[in-house]
Amino acid sequence: MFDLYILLSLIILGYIFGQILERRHYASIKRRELAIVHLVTTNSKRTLGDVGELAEARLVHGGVVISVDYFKRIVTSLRNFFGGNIRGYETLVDRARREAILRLKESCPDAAQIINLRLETSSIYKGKGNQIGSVEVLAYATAIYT
Amino acid sequence: MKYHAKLPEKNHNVSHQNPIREFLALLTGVLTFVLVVYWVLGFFVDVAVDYISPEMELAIFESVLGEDEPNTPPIVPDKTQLAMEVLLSDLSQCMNVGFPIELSYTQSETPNAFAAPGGKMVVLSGLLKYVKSENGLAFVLAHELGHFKNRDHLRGMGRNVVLMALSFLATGNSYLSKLLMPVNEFQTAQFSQGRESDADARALDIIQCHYGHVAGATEFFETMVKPEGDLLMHYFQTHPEARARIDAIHKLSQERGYTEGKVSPAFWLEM
Repeated sequence: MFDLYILLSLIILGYIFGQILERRHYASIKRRELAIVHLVTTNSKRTLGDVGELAEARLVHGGVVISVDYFKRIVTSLRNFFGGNIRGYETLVDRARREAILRLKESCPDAAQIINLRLETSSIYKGKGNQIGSVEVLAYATAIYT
Repeated sequence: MKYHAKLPEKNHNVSHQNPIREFLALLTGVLTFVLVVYWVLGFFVDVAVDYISPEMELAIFESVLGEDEPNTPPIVPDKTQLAMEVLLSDLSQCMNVGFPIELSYTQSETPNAFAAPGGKMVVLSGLLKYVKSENGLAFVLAHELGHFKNRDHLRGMGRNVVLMALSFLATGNSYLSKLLMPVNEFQTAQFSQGRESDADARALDIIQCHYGHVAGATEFFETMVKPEGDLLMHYFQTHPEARARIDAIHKLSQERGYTEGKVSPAFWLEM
């Protein structure tokens, strides 16, 4: 019985804090995306349009590791039973992707364009049974300076 | 074409449904599934138990349990154990369990006695502090005899195996199986409460047969009655609450016309 109470408190705490943090993170992502939206970013190997004479090309990257909260982990485990969309993890990877790209862009605000953008994903604690899982997203690209 | 830098208006990569609703829906589904499967498998356990003969039971558990457990050293057969064995064999005269019962008297503070597979009745010495007369002890021994008669030790064990297998299969890991605990405990408890009441009824018949009256039957529970009570916990207890059991025993002895006589003194205090 005691175990159950602990588990329920963990789920409730996980939900409350997970939601607060997620909301804050999304607010921050939206604000910063808007601030740096002018910086052209593409996954193409060539620049978009004509940027003129190239002065410099530099490898830039941005990485982030985000952990899933306890509530989402439980929901996901239950979801494994029936199958279907794991909605809880959708926001997790969405935040991670956008945060990684943001950090990449913020590392080179003076670039003319960012080209050849690539994303790598890896899960940390993979296969570690009862550990809380987290996701890492690494964004890397070439920053073009004119 | 001119390039316009702008952000998408809506995030289409994430679901916007309430996660709590999803959680509750999933949980209800899994719990219902486990409940149904457990109930069905429990029924099969009951059927299977009827097919396990005492000889077969002994053969199965001799290999598993081996000899005496090494961590609970039994006392060298002292006078208490010998007297208890005599009492047990007298009580057995009143109800034929169908196989020999071996009494194992073990030192432990816990006031308990239980029916183990292979016809082994374990009595913990802490129990003697909670009963004041021979009749009180006789009721507890008779209660365990009732369990043996009903093969409850096998039923309980079979259900536990089903339970463990099920919670691991359903959830795939141990921490999530805790979430299924209320279902499991509730079912086990409900099942077990029925078995306990049944064993109480049998025990009452046995001590009426042995002593000619039922005085001292509720002695153990009288001392176990706890002042505090958690309403929720009541449904999760495998043994019906002491107070409810005392009432049930009194009611039953009235129905059957049993009377109360003089209790025999506690032999273990005189040794």
